Amino acid sequence: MTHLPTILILLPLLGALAGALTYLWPTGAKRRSNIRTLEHSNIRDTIAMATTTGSVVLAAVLAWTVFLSLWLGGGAASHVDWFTWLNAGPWQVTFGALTDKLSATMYVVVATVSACVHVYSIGYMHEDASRRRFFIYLSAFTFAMLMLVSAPNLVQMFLGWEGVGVCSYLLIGFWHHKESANAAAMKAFIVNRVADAAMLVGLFLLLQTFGSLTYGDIFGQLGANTAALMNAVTPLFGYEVSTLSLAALLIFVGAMGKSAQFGLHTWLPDAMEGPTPVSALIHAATMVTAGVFLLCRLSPLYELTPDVLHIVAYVGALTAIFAATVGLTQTDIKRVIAYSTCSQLGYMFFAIGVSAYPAAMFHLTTHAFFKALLFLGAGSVIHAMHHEQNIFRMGGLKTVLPITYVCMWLGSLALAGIPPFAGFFSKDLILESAFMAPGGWAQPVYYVGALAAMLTAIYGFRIVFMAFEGAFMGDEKVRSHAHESPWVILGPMMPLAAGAVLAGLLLSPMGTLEWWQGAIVISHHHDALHAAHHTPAYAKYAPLLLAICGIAAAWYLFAEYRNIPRKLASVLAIPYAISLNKWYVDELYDLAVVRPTRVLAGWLYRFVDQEGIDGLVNGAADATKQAGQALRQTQTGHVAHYAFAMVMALVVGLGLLLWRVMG
Amino acid sequence: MTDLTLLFPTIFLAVWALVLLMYGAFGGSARTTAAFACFGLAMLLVPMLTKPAMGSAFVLGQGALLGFSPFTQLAQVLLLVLAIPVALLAEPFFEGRKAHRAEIYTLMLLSLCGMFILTAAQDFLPMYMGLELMSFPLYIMAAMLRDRAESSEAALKYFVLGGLASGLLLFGVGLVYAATGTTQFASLMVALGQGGMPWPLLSVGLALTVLAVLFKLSVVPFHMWTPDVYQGAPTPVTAFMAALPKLAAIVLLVRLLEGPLSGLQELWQPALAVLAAASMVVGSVVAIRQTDVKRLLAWSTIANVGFVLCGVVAASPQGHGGVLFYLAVYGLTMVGLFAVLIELENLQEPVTVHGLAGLARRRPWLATMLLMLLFSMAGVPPFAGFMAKLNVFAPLVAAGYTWLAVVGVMASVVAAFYSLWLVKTMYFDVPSAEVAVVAKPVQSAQQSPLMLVALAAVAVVLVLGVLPGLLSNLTLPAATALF
Repeated sequence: MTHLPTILILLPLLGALAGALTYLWPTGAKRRSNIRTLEHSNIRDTIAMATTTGSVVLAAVLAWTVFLSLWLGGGAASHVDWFTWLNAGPWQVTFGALTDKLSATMYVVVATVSACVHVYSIGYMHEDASRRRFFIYLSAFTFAMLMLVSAPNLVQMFLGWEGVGVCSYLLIGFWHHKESANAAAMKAFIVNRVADAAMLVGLFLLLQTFGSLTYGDIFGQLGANTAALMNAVTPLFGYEVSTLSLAALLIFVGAMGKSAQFGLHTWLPDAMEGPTPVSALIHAATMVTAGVFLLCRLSPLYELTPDVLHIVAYVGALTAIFAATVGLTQTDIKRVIAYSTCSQLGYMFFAIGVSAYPAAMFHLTTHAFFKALLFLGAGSVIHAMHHEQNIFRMGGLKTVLPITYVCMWLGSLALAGIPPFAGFFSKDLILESAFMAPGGWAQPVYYVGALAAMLTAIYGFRIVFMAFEGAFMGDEKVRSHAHESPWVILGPMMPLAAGAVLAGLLLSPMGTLEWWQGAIVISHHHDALHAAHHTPAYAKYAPLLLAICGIAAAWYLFAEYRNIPRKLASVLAIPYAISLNKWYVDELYDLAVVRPTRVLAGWLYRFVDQEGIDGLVNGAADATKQAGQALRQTQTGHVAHYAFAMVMALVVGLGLLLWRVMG
Repeated sequence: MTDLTLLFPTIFLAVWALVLLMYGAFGGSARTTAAFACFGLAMLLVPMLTKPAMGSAFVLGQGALLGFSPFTQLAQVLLLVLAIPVALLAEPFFEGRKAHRAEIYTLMLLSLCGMFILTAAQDFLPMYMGLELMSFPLYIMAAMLRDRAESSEAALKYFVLGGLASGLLLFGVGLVYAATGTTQFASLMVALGQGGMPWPLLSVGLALTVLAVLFKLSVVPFHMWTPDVYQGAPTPVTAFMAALPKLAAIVLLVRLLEGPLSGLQELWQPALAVLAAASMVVGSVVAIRQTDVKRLLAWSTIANVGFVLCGVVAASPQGHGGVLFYLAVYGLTMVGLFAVLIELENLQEPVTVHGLAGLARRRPWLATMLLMLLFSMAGVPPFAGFMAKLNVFAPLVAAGYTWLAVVGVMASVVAAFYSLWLVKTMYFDVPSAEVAVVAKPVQSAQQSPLMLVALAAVAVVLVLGVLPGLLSNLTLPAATALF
């Protein structure tokens, strides 16, 4: 029982390794012909798919076992040490698996969605020649993600953090023959590097302050000498900054990158260049929530830095409203959902900002189900439409894709927060916590969130109505070939659909602090979560009302009277342009960062690098080579010369020695 | 009366060497001799691991001739563990050249016996005897391919310069005896422990004895024989010379410096630091201009000895533990590299840097193993080479020799260059036309034990890179009990 988490973490790795071993299978290419026979590659693909999918499905079963035994079986949190990697004096890095309610919840989310996505991909990728590679990456990603969430220290966490980053890079650029996919993969990697640089500095600060990066040690010290730690300061540009706040802020910047918060979000919509199952797994349900998870894991730290929490809340709210407005006007079905993910992650962060970590984790869990469902549904549409992603070339698909249509409805209802679907419970809890945050400082956040909830309903149902209702707007040839997806694609959507409907109801204890059994700590100074029980009725029902209005508006605009939006766009030209162009963030970065960097880089390249540094480096390298050559010349091959060198060295050495000893 | 169980491994090696000699003389084939030799070495591991015997042998007056401690014990186990794969390398090499003789195993075992004496020496006389017993078989082994000029040349060079070093050692011992009237380490320690600078006569004598050890270690400026000998000697013998005598010599050096010479630390510590820096820099810098891979590895050995000396300079248990760790990892990496090189030689691949071009395409397995071993050599993290360097540099910084650690890191940058250069050649360069013609076609079945040795080396290097505790939990306690 204690080793169950270890097994479930290692299973996807084993699956990926076993899949990778199929590359050693003799290809037959050398023996028969240079063309790889399809038959051979099919066998190997099947083996790779079986090992990866099988291992992840098994991992999902184990994850549920661990989760349920912790929740209903009354099991206690466990901690298994695997091995000590580094042992540098007082600082140790011991790898292991920490299994409490927080990581067990993540096991369930990661492994379940991953299992569904694996099965789905068997159908979705069946025409792809290199699907074996795809499955191996998927399983490797799952392993890295499980490492991230199970880590008992920040070093192992960071290893997983970078591991998911690499897998995300590989999977976004999976179709590497597409220029745009390569660019998107690199963009994701680079933006995340910027965030990770900040995070690393934060981790170094923690290491310097606590002498350890193990959660247990850090939290223990935070509890033992709270006052001293809170007064610790770090000099920064001539000012003295609270060390804890600085570290918390820097780690939050890292989380912003991974979780696509405003400012560092630009990679997420572009990441939609990857195959759709990847978007569902990595860019909706799991990897992008790593930042939320990390902040919840570090709740004892963040509880001591209320100023940083305020920043978290404002950034979250800004992201929620920003992404919602952009989602209104995008035409690519996957991009709309990507912005919706961005927006929902914003909700989770402002929940953290008001110290409602349980609400954030609750929303993370429900969101994983309905967002993965929406992505897989979108994938089903794209699959049926022969890779058409523009919703303005769809329409009226409900007769062609009835099952997908129902799934999209369920997912969108959950997203919009309509009871009794999953999103209602978690999103409501977040908004109520924001409204009731002690001191009322977070009420603006609540209003922004409520407004975003209406926009969410509008853009969520915009894609449903545009794609499935009304008249078909695309190429007739495509439509005549469109067909409902096979069951290997629809099947994995069913558990997710069940989750989208039921998760909110069944998992509602997650919204209380007590359920987490100490895995999350909330200071009683700012306990918004308890106060949320006493939310006034108007604040409680306003978001729901707004969401219903949003759905009605979406029906009116995008199913019944489709020419109104066009008129609206021409009347409200400026807001429309801002939304369509994503608030010009990419352009701003281009202008403020990319171009100046490029100009500076060009200048540095020409004058400093080529003439200065190259001169130095090449000079040093040449000098080294010449020194090597010169020393090599002394290697004459004559024994007498060697003996002479030895004796000379001896004479000099003894001379120095005698000078020391006698003088 | 001396407890003979202490001496059992040493005696066993000598007796087993003679048994092998007799077996070979009375018609035993070289191949079965190889099997017997490996069997004997493996058998010897059993009592050494299960019943390690500690204590002093041949106690005379204040001290003893030989002293067995956890440190020597671990060093001897490591020597045995390294000797077995090296013995496995000989057969595929010499069989291919029709020069496989049973004597090579006798010589290996005798040399190993000499190393056992050397590691345990507590007196200058057994130290001299051990050094010579270790070296003489090496000279003969280097000349094993009698009909090849470079083999004989290598042996002769090694012999002449080794003889010079031995002569200086004996001269040094004579001076020490003249100054103190003893050859025992223990009495010497008492004589030197009175404080103040030693007699000039005594200090010159001691310097000469240390020099003999530095010669065996091929520390700059006593290194010049190394490339010529490594290149000329038969490849398995080169592997033997690269992996084993270094370990024995460094154990002696540590026990000499921390024992009788411990009072003179202020004299030897800076001197060794300078020599370590010189070895690291010269070894790495010259290596980048080499075209023959064996010669390149010889220079790399010189650089690596410099890294090992860093641990000696640190003069702390952590440093000495790091030394053992480094040499075990380095020895194994070398054995793995030479195993791959022999395989390449047998496949008539040119073993020059440019001849390796395109190897990854011709022989992906060999190239992959070379890649991993070279990465370990360069000190790239998931491999053991990184941990080995960390284990000598960290104590060095703790001892206050930060400048030497900086020099070491810079030298390892240069060393990384030639490792990665080889990798680049294997993976990215296009082979010249004649190479492609000369090389034998791909053989599917590997009948030789070479692949086994190389694979084992790669596996250990990987495992120790992730779980360094497996070895460092042994070396560190051993290093706290040098005597």
